Amino acid sequence: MGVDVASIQELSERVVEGVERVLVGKPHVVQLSLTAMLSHGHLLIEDNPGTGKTSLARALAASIAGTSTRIQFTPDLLPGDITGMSVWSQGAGDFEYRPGPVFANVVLADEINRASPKTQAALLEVMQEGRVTVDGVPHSVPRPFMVIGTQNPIEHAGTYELPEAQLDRFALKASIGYPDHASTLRILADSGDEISPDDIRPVTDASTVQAMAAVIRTVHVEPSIVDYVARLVEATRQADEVRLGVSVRGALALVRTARAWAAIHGRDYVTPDDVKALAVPALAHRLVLQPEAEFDDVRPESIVQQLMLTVAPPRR
Amino acid sequence: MTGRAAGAGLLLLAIAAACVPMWWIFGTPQLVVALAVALLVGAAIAAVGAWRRWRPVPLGVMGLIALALLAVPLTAPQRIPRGEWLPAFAEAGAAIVLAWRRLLTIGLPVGTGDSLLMAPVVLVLAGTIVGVTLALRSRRAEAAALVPAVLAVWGILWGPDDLPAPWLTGLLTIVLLTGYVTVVRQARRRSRAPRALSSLARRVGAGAIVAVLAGGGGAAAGALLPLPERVVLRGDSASSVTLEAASPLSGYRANWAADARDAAQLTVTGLVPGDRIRLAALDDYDGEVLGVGRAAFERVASAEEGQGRIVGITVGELSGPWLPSVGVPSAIRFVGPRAELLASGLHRDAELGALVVLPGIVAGDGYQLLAEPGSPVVAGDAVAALRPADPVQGSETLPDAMLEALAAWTGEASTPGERLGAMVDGLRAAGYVSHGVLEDEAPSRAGHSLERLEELFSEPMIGDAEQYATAAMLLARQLGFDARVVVGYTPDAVEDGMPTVVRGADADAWIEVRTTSGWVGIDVVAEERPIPEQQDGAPSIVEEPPAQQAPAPAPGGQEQGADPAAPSAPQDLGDPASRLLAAFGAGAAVLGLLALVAALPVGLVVAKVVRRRRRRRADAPRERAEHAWTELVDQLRDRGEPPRLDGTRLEQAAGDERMRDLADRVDRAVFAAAPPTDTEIDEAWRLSDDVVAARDVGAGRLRPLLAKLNPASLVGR
Repeated sequence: MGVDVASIQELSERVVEGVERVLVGKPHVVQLSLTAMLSHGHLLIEDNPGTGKTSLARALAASIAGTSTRIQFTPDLLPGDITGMSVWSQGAGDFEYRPGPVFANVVLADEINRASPKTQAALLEVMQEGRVTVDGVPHSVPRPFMVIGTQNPIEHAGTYELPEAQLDRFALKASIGYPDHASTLRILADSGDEISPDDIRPVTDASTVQAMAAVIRTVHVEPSIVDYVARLVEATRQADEVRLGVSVRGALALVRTARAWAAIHGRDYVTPDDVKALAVPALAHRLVLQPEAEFDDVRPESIVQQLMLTVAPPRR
Repeated sequence: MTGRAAGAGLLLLAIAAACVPMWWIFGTPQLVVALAVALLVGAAIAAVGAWRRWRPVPLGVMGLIALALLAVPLTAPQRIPRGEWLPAFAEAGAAIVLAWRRLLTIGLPVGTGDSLLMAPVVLVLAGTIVGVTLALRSRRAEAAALVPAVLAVWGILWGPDDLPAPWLTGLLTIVLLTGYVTVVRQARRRSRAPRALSSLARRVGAGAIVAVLAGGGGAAAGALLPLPERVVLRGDSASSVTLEAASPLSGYRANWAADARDAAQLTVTGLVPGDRIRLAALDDYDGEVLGVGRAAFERVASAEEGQGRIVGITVGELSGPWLPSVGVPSAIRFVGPRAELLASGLHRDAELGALVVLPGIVAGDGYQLLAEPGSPVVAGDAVAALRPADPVQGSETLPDAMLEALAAWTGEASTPGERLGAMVDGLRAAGYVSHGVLEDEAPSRAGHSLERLEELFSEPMIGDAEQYATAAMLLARQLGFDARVVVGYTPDAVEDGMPTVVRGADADAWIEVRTTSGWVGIDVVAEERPIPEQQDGAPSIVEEPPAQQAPAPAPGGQEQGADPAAPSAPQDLGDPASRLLAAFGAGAAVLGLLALVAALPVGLVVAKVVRRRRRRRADAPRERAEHAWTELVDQLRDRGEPPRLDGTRLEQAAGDERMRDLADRVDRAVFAAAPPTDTEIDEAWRLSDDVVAARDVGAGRLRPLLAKLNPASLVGR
C-alpha cells in the first residue's frame, strides 16, 4: 500500500484511538510517542507513579504488529541482561550469541534510572546506532527500533540519575500527568471493564512504520524554519540560567520530530507551530541548569517556554 | 514603505511649516499654490519611486520632468493665456540659475516677476522628493529632517530682517520635526525588536508631552524674551542706488532748445487724455540743486505681476537713468536688444514713485508696463480742501522776497489747505512763463538755486516749470506740507488708440504734497501768456490767467483736470484675463490649503490602498499569499484588535475559526515545498476579507471608515 502523509495522519488517529482505551484523556502524549517512533527517536517518560507510563509504552508497542519487550531496570541488572551474551554451544562446539531483550521493535526500559550507570551505558550504542556489539561482533536490532524509558522523578533512593550524554539520546521527553476530572470519572466508571494493553490490536506493522518513516524524511522544512530552530537552540546556550545548552543532536532531533509531528497532522511541510509544539519535549531535558537556577527551582521547561516568547517565529 | 507613511506625512507638514517664512519674501498667494503643488507632486514622485524601487537617477529624471511641466504654470501662469509659453519656459529655465541672486537684490516682497518663484519651487520639489524618499526608504530616515531645516534656514537667509512672530513658525517646524524623528525612530525600533515591551502609544504619548512642554516653554520664551537680531543675506543697502547728482530738473531747459522742442523724446501707446508721464520725483534741495535724497531704490523684478492698462513706451531722444512711466507702473517688460540689460538694472523707489535703470535708457529702447492710477492732480479751489498728513515746518531758509510774497498771498487764509491754495493761485497769477532759450523769448535764466528763486520773486516773475515747481515746493513746505517736485511730460495731443509722440515741448514739472489722503499733485506753472512790457524795470500784469475750473478731488485718485467730455479710457485688454487668473489663483490657493489640511487623512487612506495593492500584486506567489495574512493583521490592528505580535499565525488566530483556516492556508503557502496557486491565493485573500467583515458585523457602519483613518497599522509595524 502506498504511504503518504494522509495515511500517516490516519494511522496516528487510529493509534491514538487505540492507546486512549488504555490511557484515557492523553492524546497529546500518545502523539508525542508516535512522533518519536516515526522519527526513529526514543522517548523518555518521566512522571509520578501510577500515571500510566508503563501502560503507554505497552499499548504503543501493542499497536504495532512487531516485537516488543519490557526490561525492568534494577540495580543488579547487568549489561548482558539487556544486550544478550555469548554462551557455549555444546553442539556447535563454539560460542553462540543469545540476543537480549533489546532486540525488539519497541523496548520498554522501565524505571531506567534504577540500573547502574554501566548498564545504562549499555543502552547508549543501541539507542544511537541501532546495533549491539558483543565480543567484537556487531548485531543490528530490528527496524523500527524504539526505546521507551520511564523514570520516577520523586524517588531518588537507590537510583542513578541518567547522565547528560544518555539524556541527549532521547529524542523526546514527555510527562503524562494526572488525568483531568472528566477523564478520571471515565476511568473510574470503566474500572470494572478494565482494558489491558495486551488487549489492543495492532493497527499497523513494522514494515509500514518503516515506510512511513521514509515518507517523513521527505517532509519539507523551509530554511526559515531551520533558522528558527537554530535561533532557539542558540538562545538556550545564551540563557543566564543555563550552564549547558542544547547540542547539535538536540537541534537535529527537533527538526526530525517536527517533520514527524507535521506528518501525523496531515502535512508534508513543517510550520513554526510544529517546532513550538515540540520545543519543550525535544529540548528541555537536554538543558543543564546553573546551580543557582536549580536552587531557585527553575524548571528547564519554563526556560524553553520563555525562550519561545523571545525568539520570533518565522512568517515566511 | 507603508509603515513609514505617517512619518512621511509629518515630514510634509514640517516642510510646509518651514515654507511659511517664504511668504514674506514673495507676498503673493501664487506662492502658496506653487509650493502646495510642488510639495504634493514631490511627495507623489517619491512615493511612486519607493513603490517601484526607483534608483536615484530615474527619481531625479522624474523630478526634472515634473519641474519642466510645472515651471510655467506655477511661476508665470499669467503668461499662458497670452500665448507666451515658450518665452516663459525659457525665463523659468534661466531663473533656476539667476533667481537666487535676484531674490537678494530685489526689494521685498519680490512678487512673482522674472519667474522668481522658481527658487522656492525647485527647493520644495527637490527637497520633498529627497526627504520623502529618505523617510520611506532609508535606514537613517531621520536624515530627512534636514530638508525642512534647510528650507527654514533658506527662508531666513533670503528673507527680511523682521518677521511677525518668527518664534511661532520656528517652533511649529521644530515640533513637527521632533514628531517626525520620534515616529521614525519608533518605527525602526519596533521593526528591530517586535516583541519589545515598549509600546508606540506610550512613546508617542511621552513625545507629545515633551513636544507640548517644549512648545509651551518656547512659545512663552519667544513671546516674552527679545529675540536676537537675525542674520540675513540681504544687505541693508546692497541694492540701493544713489542718484543725488542726477537731477533731471537741472537739464529741464534743454527740452526747450530749438532743436529739442519738436524732437520726439518718447513714443507712447495706450495713453488716455490727461495722462502724465512721470520721469522723476525730487525732494532733496540743498539751495542749489533739487535732487533725490531720501530715495531708497531697490531692484524690482521686471516681469512682476501686476494689473492695469497696458502702456507701451519707445524711447526717442530722451536718455539717462530715469525711466518714464505712467501712473503707478507694474509688470514692466523690456523689449529689444537691450531688454535683458535694462531688466537687470531696473530699480524702483516705491515712496517716490520713480523708476531708474542703471544702464540708462537710450534711443530705441522699448518697454511695456501696466499702469494703475497714480497720484491725483488737483487744482484750483480743490487745493484749499487739502490737509497736510504730518504738518512739519520747512527747514529751508528762503529768501525774504519769497516769504514776503507768501505772506501776501496767504494773508487771509486760515487753514493749511487754504494757504496752500492761495500760494498756488498767487504763483500762477503773478508768474509768466519764459524758457529764455529762443531769441523771441523774454530773458529767463535757467537754474533753480535760491539765488535764482530770489531773482524770480524780486524781479518780474519770469521763469518756467523748473523755477515755479521748485519755488512752490519750498513754499508748500513753509506751509506745513511735505512736498516734492515731479519732473515729466504732459503731452497735449493724446488720441485714444493712437501712439502719442512726446516731444521736448511737452516737458513739465509740478509738485506733489503729502496730504491725509496721500500724495496729491498740483500744477503750479502759470498759463503761457504775453509778458507785458517792463516799465522802470518792473513788470505789470496786463492779463489775469484764466481761472482754473477744476472739479473737487474725487476719491480714488483720478486726475481731476481731465476733460469730462473726453472719451473714456480704453479698457485694458488684459483685465478680464488678469481677473480670471487672480480668481484662479485664489481658488487654487484655497484648494492648496485644503489639500494640505486633508493631506494626512487622505494620505493615510491612499497609503493603505497602495499597500494593499502592492501586497496583492507582489511578484512571488508566496508573498501574495502571506500578505493576505499581513493585511488581515493590519486591518485588525486598525480596528483596535491587534493580535499578539510574538506568536505564529495559528497563535494569532486564537479561537477565530476563520482565522485559523486562513492561518493554515497561509502556512501551507509559505512553508510547503510547492508555491501556492493563484486560486489558493485568491481564496486566502477572500478569507482575509471575510474575517474582517465578520469582525465588523454589529460594530457600526463607521467602524470600517474609522479603521481606514487609523494610522496604527502604518506606524506600529
